[in-house]
Amino acid sequence: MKQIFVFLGLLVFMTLGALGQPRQITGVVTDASDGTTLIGVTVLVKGTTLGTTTDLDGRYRINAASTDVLVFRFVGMETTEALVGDRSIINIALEPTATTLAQVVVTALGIEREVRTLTYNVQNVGADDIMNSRQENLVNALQGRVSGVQITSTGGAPGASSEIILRGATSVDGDNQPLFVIDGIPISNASIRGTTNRAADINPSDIESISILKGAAAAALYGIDAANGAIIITTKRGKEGAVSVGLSTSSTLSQVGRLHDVQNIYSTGAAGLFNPRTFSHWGPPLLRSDNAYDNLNNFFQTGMANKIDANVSGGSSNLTYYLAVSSLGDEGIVPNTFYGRNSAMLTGTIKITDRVSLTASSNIMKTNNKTGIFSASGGWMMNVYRWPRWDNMVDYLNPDGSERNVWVPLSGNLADAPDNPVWSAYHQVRNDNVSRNINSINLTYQALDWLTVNYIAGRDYFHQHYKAVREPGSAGSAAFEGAISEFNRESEKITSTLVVTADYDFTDKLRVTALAGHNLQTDFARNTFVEGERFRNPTLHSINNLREVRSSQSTANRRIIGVFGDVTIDYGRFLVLGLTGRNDWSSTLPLANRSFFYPSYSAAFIFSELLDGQAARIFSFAKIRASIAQVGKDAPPHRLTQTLEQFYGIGGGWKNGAFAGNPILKPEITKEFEIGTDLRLWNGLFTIDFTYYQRESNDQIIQPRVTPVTGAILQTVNSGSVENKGIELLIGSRVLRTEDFGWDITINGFGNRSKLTKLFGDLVEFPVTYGQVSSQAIASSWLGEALFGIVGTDYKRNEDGLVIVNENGYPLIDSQKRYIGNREPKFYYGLTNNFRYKSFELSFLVDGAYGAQLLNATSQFLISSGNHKMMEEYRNQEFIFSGVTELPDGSYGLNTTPIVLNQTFFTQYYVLAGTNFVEEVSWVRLRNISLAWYLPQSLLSRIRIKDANLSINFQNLFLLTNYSGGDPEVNNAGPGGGASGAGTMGVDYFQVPHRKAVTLGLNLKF
Amino acid sequence: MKKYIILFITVVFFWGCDDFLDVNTSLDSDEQTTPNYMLPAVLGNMAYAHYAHGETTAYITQYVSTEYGTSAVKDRWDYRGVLRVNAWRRHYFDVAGNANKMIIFAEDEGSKNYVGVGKIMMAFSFLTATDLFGDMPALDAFSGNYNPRYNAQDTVYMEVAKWINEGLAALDQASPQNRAMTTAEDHIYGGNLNNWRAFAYAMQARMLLHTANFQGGYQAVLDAVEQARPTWSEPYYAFPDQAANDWERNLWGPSRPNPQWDFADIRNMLSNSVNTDFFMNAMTVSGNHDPRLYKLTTPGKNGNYLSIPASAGIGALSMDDFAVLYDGYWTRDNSPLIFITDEELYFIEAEAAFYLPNRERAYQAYLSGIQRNFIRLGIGEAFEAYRNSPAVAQSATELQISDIMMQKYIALYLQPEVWVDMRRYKYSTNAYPGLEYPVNALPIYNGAWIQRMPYDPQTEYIYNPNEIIRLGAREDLWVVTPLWWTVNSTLSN
Repeated sequence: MKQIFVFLGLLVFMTLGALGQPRQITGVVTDASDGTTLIGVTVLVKGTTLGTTTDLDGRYRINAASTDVLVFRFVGMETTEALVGDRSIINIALEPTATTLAQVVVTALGIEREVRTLTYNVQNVGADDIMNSRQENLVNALQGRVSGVQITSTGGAPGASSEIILRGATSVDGDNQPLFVIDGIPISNASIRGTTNRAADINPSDIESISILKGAAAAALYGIDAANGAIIITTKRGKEGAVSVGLSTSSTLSQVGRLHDVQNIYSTGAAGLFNPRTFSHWGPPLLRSDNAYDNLNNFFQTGMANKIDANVSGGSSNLTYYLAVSSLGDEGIVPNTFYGRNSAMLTGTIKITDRVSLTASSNIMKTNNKTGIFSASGGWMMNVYRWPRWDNMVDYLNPDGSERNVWVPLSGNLADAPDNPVWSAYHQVRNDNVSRNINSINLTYQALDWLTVNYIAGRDYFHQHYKAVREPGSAGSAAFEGAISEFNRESEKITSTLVVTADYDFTDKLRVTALAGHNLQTDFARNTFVEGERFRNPTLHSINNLREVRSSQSTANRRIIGVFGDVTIDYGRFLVLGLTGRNDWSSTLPLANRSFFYPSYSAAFIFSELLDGQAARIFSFAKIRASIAQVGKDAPPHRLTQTLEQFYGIGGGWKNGAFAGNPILKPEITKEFEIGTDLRLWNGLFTIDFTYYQRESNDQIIQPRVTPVTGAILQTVNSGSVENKGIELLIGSRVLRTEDFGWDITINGFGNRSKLTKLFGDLVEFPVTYGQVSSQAIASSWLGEALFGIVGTDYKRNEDGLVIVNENGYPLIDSQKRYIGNREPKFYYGLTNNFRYKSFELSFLVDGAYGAQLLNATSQFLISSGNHKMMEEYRNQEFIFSGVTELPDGSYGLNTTPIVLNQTFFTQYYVLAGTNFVEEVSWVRLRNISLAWYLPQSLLSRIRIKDANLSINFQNLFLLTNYSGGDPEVNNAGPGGGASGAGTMGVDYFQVPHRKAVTLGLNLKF
Repeated sequence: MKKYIILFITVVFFWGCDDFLDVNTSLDSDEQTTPNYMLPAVLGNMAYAHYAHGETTAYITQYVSTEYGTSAVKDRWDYRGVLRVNAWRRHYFDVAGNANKMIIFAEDEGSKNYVGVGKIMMAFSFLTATDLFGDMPALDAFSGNYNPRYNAQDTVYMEVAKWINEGLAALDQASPQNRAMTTAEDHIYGGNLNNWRAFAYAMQARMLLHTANFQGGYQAVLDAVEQARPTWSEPYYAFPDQAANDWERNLWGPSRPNPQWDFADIRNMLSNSVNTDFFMNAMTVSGNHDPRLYKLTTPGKNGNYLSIPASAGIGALSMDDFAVLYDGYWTRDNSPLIFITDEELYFIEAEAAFYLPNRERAYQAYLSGIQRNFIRLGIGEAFEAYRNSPAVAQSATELQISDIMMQKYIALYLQPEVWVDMRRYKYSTNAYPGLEYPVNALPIYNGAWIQRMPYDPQTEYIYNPNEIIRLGAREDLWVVTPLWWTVNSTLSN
């Protein structure tokens, strides 16, 4: 008997002993939602430093004792614990967390970070939102969906360039646009001579997601070019599984949107007398027998665009691929304008060994933009608006095919006759052809479980051929015999980035991620210009055919070397500390100032981890984050010395170049402080993200005009400081989600206040080169005021602000220019709504802004030429100007002298006060509304199609605004002409208006 | 494997840092060159400046006036809406700045001929510019000072005199070893340094004439004229008969090139302009026209030679009844631009001698000036008849200052120096009988004549505001504030 007890006791003892010893535990971790295995899941023994990760088959092996608890942790999944007990095989299915809108965002250098531990604000736009916008230019696809961005396009012409500014402009005269990155390599977003901004070459259908890194903290790792933030684009990849084929087509019809109104009563001439040779409509009223042609509306046609996208993707466990081809053709609303884009992209990921994988991507784009002549400063539509009403502008040819001149000048010289805009559209054409190739490779080596080495190298190369022809007969003595302006530009950007990342769980509470990297970048562009006049043979559009030719070449070369490091400490999943540092060496600065270092410090406190009970149910996720960061910026290349330029004159030779040198240039530094909170309430029912930022840019590298007394026209100097502060708000709600019905709302809001705090030398004003649309009010930055300013003249006023009127009843003009307006809206907002009911989906985007002061230069010129709508009501009316006159004793009395509102009043008084053309404007726009029908499976399975949907999408359907002109979202010159510095956002000067459009689309998946 | 990674990282990291980054020198342009390649720009830009000054002043000196009478600048003298006054940039950046560079390159290599020519052109550009603008930076020019002080006009004149002297001294040191100066580089004198010397003395004579009535006296003027005479040749910038490029056309001409090649922006308005009463009266002698009229202008459609009061516009009249201003001697595509004409030199002599006083010498110079003008216009044989007409003083004792100034006026048709003359005489009708105040000038001027150009608003008001404020140059009445040599002039009677 005793022996049995001893034996049993020994057995128990041995078992217990065996159980108490660590032994190998193995198992497979899967995703509970679809059963797929999960790679890279962290498996820890709770309370120890033991840990491992699941391999490529989802399998893990770890030593643990029976009393140990295993912790399974993976991004986007609920952390799960399991007591080992007596099991040797423990398979776990992890549940996805339902709390965040996006689990992971792509941040600088392609590094994926969990949203939960981010210490700064990053916003994501997904493929669906991009597609729903139906925009050809991916910059426009972001409009209204992201807080903190200001996007303005130069108008509704196909291929029109768009300007994007994040969190306010930092540079008084440099480029304020963010860095564009595709799949880890920076690419060019250049816009030369008003041509399309180059990021628009990318086909929006190839994009998986766009991450917008708005602040310095987010972009610090990218260095110099990301001083204004970064737009990180990730393209689509293949997935393991059966071959998937996608095909989508869409057709879009578009029409001109809002235009300025013009008067319909008066004919051409001056002071009430008819003159057949002028655009001024100060003549007598049109006779009833006159045909008053509606030249403005007759000018536009219905635009038609067609797009087709096809893709093939698939792969095995070792190789996945994604191949896409696309073709887009857009005929614009202006006759003879066209934008075409053909592209092909191939991305493949190969698992070379179980530790090494390689992704290679090649993207080829060819774009062809045909558009009418316009200068970088806008003003294209001026003659369309002012065309004589008694002339049928669209009848632009004589029977013999030559241009029908609206009038023959008194001099008899046809070169002085103005060009008919329709004739210009067909015979003064600019062709911009770009052939672009973006290639990248991305090599990942998983050296150890916690150590990864990543190398990305890429090349963005494009060749741009631009040719602007003005056929013989064009107005102006230079172009009357024909003129050609042509350039060939080659641009190459090569990037190499090496990053070593260590991600180690020191304990189950302490996780440290550290990375160190090295970056090389070269930027090369060579531009060869040829231009000339006077064709020999009238129809040959070649530079070989010119009697006068001038040529020049310009080369720009820049190289950067950078090293950077980043450390993130995650303690207990509720406290995150981050530290970044980067040092750059730039070729564009003098040797002594070439190297500069800039750090960033950030922290996040996820206090929801510490809540429990009722509070935890409300705040399923709550984080407060703060960061202080610095980013440096270098100078444009080749600006350290004054060089000579060609002299075009008798004898040729050299003359002084316009840029003075500056051998002591140093880098510009932007400092930013950001603080914010991210909240997820009731398990994701509500999302609230809020950020406040404040940034200051100092030692700005600007290129002001200097007095020519120095022997130069411009100089590159360090001087200028700009401050920006603002808030970004994002509120989302997953209002309803059932089997049949779903409803999501997102609201975003953004407000920025800027101030120019310092300028160079004695400068008080910094005008925008292409914003000088008149002598009375221009786009300009004024010291101590907002950066996107308007500077101009006003009436003379007394101390009480009343207008001083002279003894004849006319107001006096104060020709001293001053700051008179801020073009940046006080607040932007956007509302996205998605409804889903069974197989239908309805979504719409409403966005708007309030409190922007626009410079309506279009209105100014319409008034001075007598074409403005207000002439119908006001011209020749008697009027007592509301103001005061100076009395003999020096005081002021109310004005009682009436005047007639005639040409003299409008052209010699009214238009001379710039304040008359500054309008405070607000608007609300239904930017997008679309309805999609997902064809039922029962229908599809019969024709062997996996998925199909039909959609109809309206763009820019409704616009509500108090603006007196056309569409209030205006940008006179865009990035190519004016986005230097304060740019021309908010300047309305005869642009081609924005379009209204409807798109029908069909999407198939095989 | 790990070893290779570390090696790779090290190599990549330390790979030729500085060499890799030394790419900031421009591949398309140099900082330096030899002076011969800069001279064409100096002379060509000065020629353009000469045209531009003339185009502005011709409406002030009432050779021509506009068809409609509504031009803000030309008819009302209203500069309040003007964005750019390019004469400022034209002087500092296009002419004097390049002359300054050329002098530096020439000194570096010891080419005294280029140094001399450079200094003379520097002086000429500053002289013509200060006669337009008045006070302007001279001592601080090209010194890298972004807020240069504006020197008073008498200081500028002293600098001009200094450059003339330095230029003459450099020419004296020129040697055959200097870099060659031929017609390819020197479009005006083809490298003949004696001609340059004469030009320098003529410029000195002109400059001294401006101030002789209140300082220095007239003998100095005559001395300068005499030093110029022996090797004098007009500084004649020629345009080819058959121009291949727009820059080979005189901008006074009918083709009105729109210069694509440079920031030149002043195209002539002669097709919308007509002669004024003042000019036409000067060209009318006892009911007949001075034969030179037919050489300075060409007949209009109806062959009439009407005229209008300055700034009044033609109103109900037809352009067909006015002369066409193109294709006269000075207004063809291939007309020359001449910095100082033979006639001007004669009339400087005449005026100086008149006040010396040496009436005989003044009279002879006066007649020579008129005759030279007839010869220039190709009607030398008509001089005799004209000489005997009431238009010309018949003897030295009858000679009056208005004779000299009015004949100088006719001979210097469209030249900018005439505005200097009128201001020296304070627009007096003693010197210019029949000269009337333009009807459309802005009322705020209260009958005061225009005396200067405003400074370039685009650069000076913005980039040099303190000096502008100090001078009061933003006031509406700045343009009617007289220059130094007008204020001090004793000549109006």
